[in-house]
Amino acid sequence: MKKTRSLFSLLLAIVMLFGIVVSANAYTYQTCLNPAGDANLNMTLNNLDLDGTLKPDMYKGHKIVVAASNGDHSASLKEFGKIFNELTGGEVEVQEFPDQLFEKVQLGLQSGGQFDVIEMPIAYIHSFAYAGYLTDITDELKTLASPNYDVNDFVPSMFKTYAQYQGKIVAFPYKPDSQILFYRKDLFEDATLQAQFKAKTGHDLKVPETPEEMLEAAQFFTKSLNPDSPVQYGYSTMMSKGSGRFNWFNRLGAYGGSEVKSDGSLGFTDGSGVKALQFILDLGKCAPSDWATFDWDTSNTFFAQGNAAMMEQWPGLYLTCNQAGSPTKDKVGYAVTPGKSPTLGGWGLSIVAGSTEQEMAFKFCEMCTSKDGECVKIQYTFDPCRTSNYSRDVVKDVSGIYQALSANLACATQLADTDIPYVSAQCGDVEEAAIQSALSGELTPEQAIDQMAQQLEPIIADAKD
Amino acid sequence: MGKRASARSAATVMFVLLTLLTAVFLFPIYWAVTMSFKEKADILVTVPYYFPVRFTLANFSDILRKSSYNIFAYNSAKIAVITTVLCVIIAGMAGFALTRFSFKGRKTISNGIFIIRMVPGLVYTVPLYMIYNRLGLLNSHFGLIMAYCTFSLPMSIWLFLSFYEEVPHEIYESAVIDGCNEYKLFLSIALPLVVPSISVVAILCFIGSWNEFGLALTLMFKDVYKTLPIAINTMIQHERDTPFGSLAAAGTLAMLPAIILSLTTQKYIVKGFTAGAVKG
Repeated sequence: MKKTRSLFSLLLAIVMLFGIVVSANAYTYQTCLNPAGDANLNMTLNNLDLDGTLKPDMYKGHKIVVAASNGDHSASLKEFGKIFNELTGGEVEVQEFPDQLFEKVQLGLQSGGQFDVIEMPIAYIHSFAYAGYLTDITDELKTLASPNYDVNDFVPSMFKTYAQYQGKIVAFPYKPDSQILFYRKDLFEDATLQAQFKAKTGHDLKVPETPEEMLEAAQFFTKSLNPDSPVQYGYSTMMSKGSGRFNWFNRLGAYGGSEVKSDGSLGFTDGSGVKALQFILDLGKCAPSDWATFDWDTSNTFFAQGNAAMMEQWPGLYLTCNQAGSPTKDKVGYAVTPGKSPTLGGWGLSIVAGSTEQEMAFKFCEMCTSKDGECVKIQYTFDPCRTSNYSRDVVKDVSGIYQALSANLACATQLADTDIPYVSAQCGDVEEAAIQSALSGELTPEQAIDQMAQQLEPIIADAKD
Repeated sequence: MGKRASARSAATVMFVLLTLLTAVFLFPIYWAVTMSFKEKADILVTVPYYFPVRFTLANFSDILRKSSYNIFAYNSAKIAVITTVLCVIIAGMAGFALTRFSFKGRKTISNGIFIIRMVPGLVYTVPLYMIYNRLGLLNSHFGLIMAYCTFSLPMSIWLFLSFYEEVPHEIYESAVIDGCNEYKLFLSIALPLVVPSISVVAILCFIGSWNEFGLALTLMFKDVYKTLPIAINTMIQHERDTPFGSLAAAGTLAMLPAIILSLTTQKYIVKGFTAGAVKG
């Protein structure tokens, strides 16, 4: 009896010791999802070690270099680098390039040996993939990834557009971006205005879902067209050179068109391009006359100051509207862009094919884009790319915009940058020039679209060769 | 009387025009400085405030406390000072040699210096990157200093040349008769006579290196090695509101060394640029 008791006690002690050792080794990370420090948005993340596949000192003495844009981009990756170092001993150096990111990365890839991982907008990643600079991670996802990584958890349209290219998987979705409709919910929900709208148009004032509904609402809220409007303009957006095409893309899909089809032919010469451009000109009568000069800062400030009822913009406008002292704080609602064809932006992480640290780079990228990893970058205003995280406790309360963002991402297919290798920037320039000419009245929408088509066709044909 | 009146009118018109021109050139600096003292909400307003309505030092404390401004400023100062010293020494000696000695290829070298100056610096950027990558000079202050010296030397030598050409040869000959060797000629006779050009070259090299952006962006990767212009540019981020106040504060501080240098050595700059215009 005594022997049995002693044996049992010894066994229990061993089990307890094992438990202590195991729990001592489990890595936990505390994060507050709201950078302003809301205590209710704290989260404890327990699986940054990717189901135990990241082990202590497994990459000790090894180093990878990550090329990234500046600000939140590099800040989030530096935080991941710190975590990765704590978990594995591997060193992660993040090099940030505030300007000419594409040129620096291109130089680095061509000369070789500069970077192991790059963080780039999606169209540029596809260009580098086409040139053979990036690793096809299809096999690694099967052999190296942790059991719960789950690529099917990514927002499907995002994974298809961001990560996949010509049958290969070349990127990890890292930062999602989609145009979103921002609207003054205090105006749309105002009973008096609703009654006035009904009297004027015969139907209810609601958040527009089609371009026609949007135009009607914009006209109602434009003082020059409706002196009773509580705001000056029904619509605003950034239409300066470099951003005008996003507005055109937002409508193109609604009219059945696209920028470039999968076979490389133009998808807007069937009349949808003209329709979309004409719509912008019609909407322009409800917008400030100098909207063609509006860049990111001026357009956001204009809307946040309460001058317009609606605006289509990237998610970052949310921060401007809700900062302390903003006249539109807590007055802005978010919805899918009318026509359900929002422009898709976004950034991805890719592994450089010439890197000598393929496995370490893969595991680093995997950690950054894992279910728990996505929650680390939320504090840097980087929204999730995974469907499950949008409905995850605490995460879903972070930002009022998440529901709209998730809905927009689900239906977005048109990339902000032309997805053709090497000529992305050139195509963007052609589109911008034509749109600006139409905005200024120099060309009619038909002439502008013709000009666009005539200039794009040889560029795309050359790129295919 | 008529002549005096018309001369006075012409002087008045000139004064007004020059004042307007000065205002046009100085206004961006004025705007940047005043913006650095404005509250965030007072910066992007429909009717701009030409003077801060709410005075704040928050922008300065933001960049001095929250960013690594002092590291970047130190990097810029170090690179600018070393570049300046090297350029003054090398160009000073090169200018002396090209005017003092007669040797085969002297004219070719002098003219070559002018021709090299005509090539835009941007053309060298990619080749320089490729060469530096092979030599392991990327991400190093030494590499950047060498690049800056390369781009500053043609102008520096050209400036020294015009000053040395003003020095009469008789001075050198009498010094030689008195027993001076070439080194003493350079150090004790020639250099003291071209002090204005030393000042001009020093100021131009310093300001050029201090403000240089393109090469520093191309050749530097690591944060700790970056210079001030790159650091200021880093404050602008994609899809986030531009921190105009902080940018203006950083720019105001970055302007100070160049402004102080220019104001304290203004007479030498004018002397340096005009000395070559008067012959005999």
